[in-house]
Amino acid sequence: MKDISRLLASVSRPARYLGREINSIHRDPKHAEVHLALAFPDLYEVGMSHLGLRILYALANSLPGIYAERVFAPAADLEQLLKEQQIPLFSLESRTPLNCFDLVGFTLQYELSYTAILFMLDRGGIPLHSSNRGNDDPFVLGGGPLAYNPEPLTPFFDFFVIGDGEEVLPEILQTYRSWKKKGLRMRESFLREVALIPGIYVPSLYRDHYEDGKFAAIEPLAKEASLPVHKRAVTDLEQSVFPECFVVPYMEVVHDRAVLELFRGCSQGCRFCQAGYVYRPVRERSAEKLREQAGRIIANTGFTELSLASLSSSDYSAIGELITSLKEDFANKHVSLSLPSLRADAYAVQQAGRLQQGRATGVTIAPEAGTQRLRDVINKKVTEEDVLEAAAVALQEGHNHVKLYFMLGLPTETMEDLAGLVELVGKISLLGRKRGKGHKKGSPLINVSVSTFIPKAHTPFQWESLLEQKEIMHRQDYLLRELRKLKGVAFARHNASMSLLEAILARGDRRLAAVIEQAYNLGSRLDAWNENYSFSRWEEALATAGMTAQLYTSRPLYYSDPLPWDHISTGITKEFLIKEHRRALELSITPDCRAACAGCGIGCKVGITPQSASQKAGYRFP
Amino acid sequence: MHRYRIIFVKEGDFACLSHLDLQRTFIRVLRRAGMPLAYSQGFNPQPRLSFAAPLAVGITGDREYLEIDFFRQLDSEKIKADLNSILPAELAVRMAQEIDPKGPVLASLVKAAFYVAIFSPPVPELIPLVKNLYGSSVLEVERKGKKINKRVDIKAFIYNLYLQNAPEEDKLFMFLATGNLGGTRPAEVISLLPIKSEPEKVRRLGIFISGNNGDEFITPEGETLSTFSNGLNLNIQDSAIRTQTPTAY
Repeated sequence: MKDISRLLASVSRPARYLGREINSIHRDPKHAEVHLALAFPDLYEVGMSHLGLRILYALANSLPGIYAERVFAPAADLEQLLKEQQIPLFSLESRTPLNCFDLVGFTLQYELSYTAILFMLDRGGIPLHSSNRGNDDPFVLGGGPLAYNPEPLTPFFDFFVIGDGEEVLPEILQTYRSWKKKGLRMRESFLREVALIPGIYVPSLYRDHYEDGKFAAIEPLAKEASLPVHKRAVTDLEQSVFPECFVVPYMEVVHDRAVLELFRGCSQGCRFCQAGYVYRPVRERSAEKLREQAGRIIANTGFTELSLASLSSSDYSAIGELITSLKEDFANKHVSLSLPSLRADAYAVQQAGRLQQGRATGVTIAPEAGTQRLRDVINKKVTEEDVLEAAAVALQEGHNHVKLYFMLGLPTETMEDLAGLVELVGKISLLGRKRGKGHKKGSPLINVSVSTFIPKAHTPFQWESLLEQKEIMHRQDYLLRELRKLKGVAFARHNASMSLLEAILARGDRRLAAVIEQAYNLGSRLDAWNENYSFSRWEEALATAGMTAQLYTSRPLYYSDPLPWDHISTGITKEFLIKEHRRALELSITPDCRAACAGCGIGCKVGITPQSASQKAGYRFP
Repeated sequence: MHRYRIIFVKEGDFACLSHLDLQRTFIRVLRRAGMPLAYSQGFNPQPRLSFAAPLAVGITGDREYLEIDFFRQLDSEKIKADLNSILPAELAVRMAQEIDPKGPVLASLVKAAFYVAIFSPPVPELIPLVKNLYGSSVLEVERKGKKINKRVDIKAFIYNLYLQNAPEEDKLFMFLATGNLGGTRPAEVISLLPIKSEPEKVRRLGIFISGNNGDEFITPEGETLSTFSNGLNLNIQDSAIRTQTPTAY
């Protein structure tokens, strides 16, 4: 402990490692029956902005006999000191070394943080490979959106949670507690027990097969290993745990505010969006419940900003009513409300405009593609008129800039689509110059951010390829050249090799684990932070393993080709994804599920309102 | 409007909390405690908090001062109790008292601060090294500017230094100018000493404003420097302040 106090004095931004924040939970770990580390493979300021971690922290600590603490990745300076002084990576609350916990659970949120997981295990004194862990080592589990293709991480994890963590975690903890009481310390006996919980994937109970260098199948090796592994989902969000005592960070974190979760899932059906598929079905909280939660969260934390979060907040069925009641509750209380993740239409921007008070900020609109044809391909159901109207409203409402999100390299994209993108931005920039008033001179009115499309698992575009590196850069250069000609427009693009890496890791199979480990050994750490990033380490690691990027980034030839994530089921049928992929290529729009059920296989009967969810218990997973 | 002066500590690991973090924390704690904060007027209203003197990162504070405006009168003891029920023990409030809202805030009055740096184990030959500092006519340190680094002579800001020797540790007391007319910090003073060892701990013991007759320093509570230092078992004379080279080694 004293050592750690000394370390704090010699690292930058020590508040990252201080703990003891308001509402953080401090207990004596000795009195806990099960000691759980909630690990986030990124810096404190990123991890503390993540809602999932906050939900699990509140949930686990509300269960009797359980003590859950947080652990984040140390920055390079602390890592160096820990290594030199042989101090193991420690938890934030009780400063317990990572290898002294019963269970260490990682949030899997972003592919580029995979090497940070290895580095946290290593610094925490836990053997990297689950097969090398002994009876005194913790069990390492992973959950979150990337657990839907866990294969590249399988050797490092004892098991994965597929689906909503708050549904499964209590069962895992109960199983662990009774296993621990039995006094048998054989790791495998626990893994076989935990494998029986629906939604749990224990990779060591399966074997992978390849044919001609290509992934062929995953075979279960034990009777406890189910195939496929079905995701778990909270059926009644209204009754599920939500943190009302957010930990209040001392330092400024990325999203330094309180959060309300309006609903989970999304009914839009954008074909590129993994979250839109894996988080189905849509489950809402009632406006009354949200209003109560908002009041308590602000009272318990003192936060001055409250974000109304979801995958597409303006789709919330009672958004107007909710905003009216929150504005009433927080009048003169110096709480600002924000509405992220807006649909690109005027209604959404108007709702966001209602939240404005005091300082004008920016508004983000995501048309995603530049032409109607391409927006039809991706099922982004907004027209050019919608986008122009939304931008006009945003500028009239006094926002000082508009941020536009697009994707590059979408399936079927041609240079015409990019020309369309430039044209659309041009129209918005004229709009701005005509109507925009009061924005700072010289600051850009329009920020255009162009990311690279990545064909993600469990989406209709899983049968598409990532654009070649050279072509990505060629198209980015075109946009840079053309957008530069427009006044008041700033352009930002994504690093092409980072997109390549993300695609490889998102689509990888079990063989990729050796590449991740090699990249880690070569010095790869927090790859998401530019200053530490180097693609050459990954190239070297791929070469050592005798593999190519292409193996993972080019599309399969047939719909029937086995995919490394086929044994994980989101509840959506493969037939539906195939149908959606075909419809994309035919430029057919699939309506919002609230308007008409597209028959994806979830079987929710459009059970979106909390009333219907609890009354009908409309969806059940096989 | 009602103004309260809060005296709190900043101890242990919380020395690493930056001034901005501390400000943000107090605002949230006051809001959480449901205190009737008065806000500034204008486009972007902010609660009216005034810290007497920001404390550099790494230094603990024995007596830190914060002044806050409320729109309603509160019981001082209740303010203290309510804040302490939320704050970590290392940021505990020692006292709250109502003060004249029309008077100047401490931040505009503070002139000096009293620090102690503890070297453990003791530094050999520290006494002549400190004496040497006094011999130099110019004491320049480098300060980071926005674009370029500046060299600043801090000799005028070092009012006095006192050294207490003990077998197990050296205590270097520093009485330094601080506030809006310029000042220096313990780290700058220590950087002038040709020693390798870092102090194990640096504490700020108190802050000082000008006394009534203008030529002496007093704490916000009215203690003179000699009363204050007697409380620390440090034997100095009032006249030693400001001009005289240190005698009280």
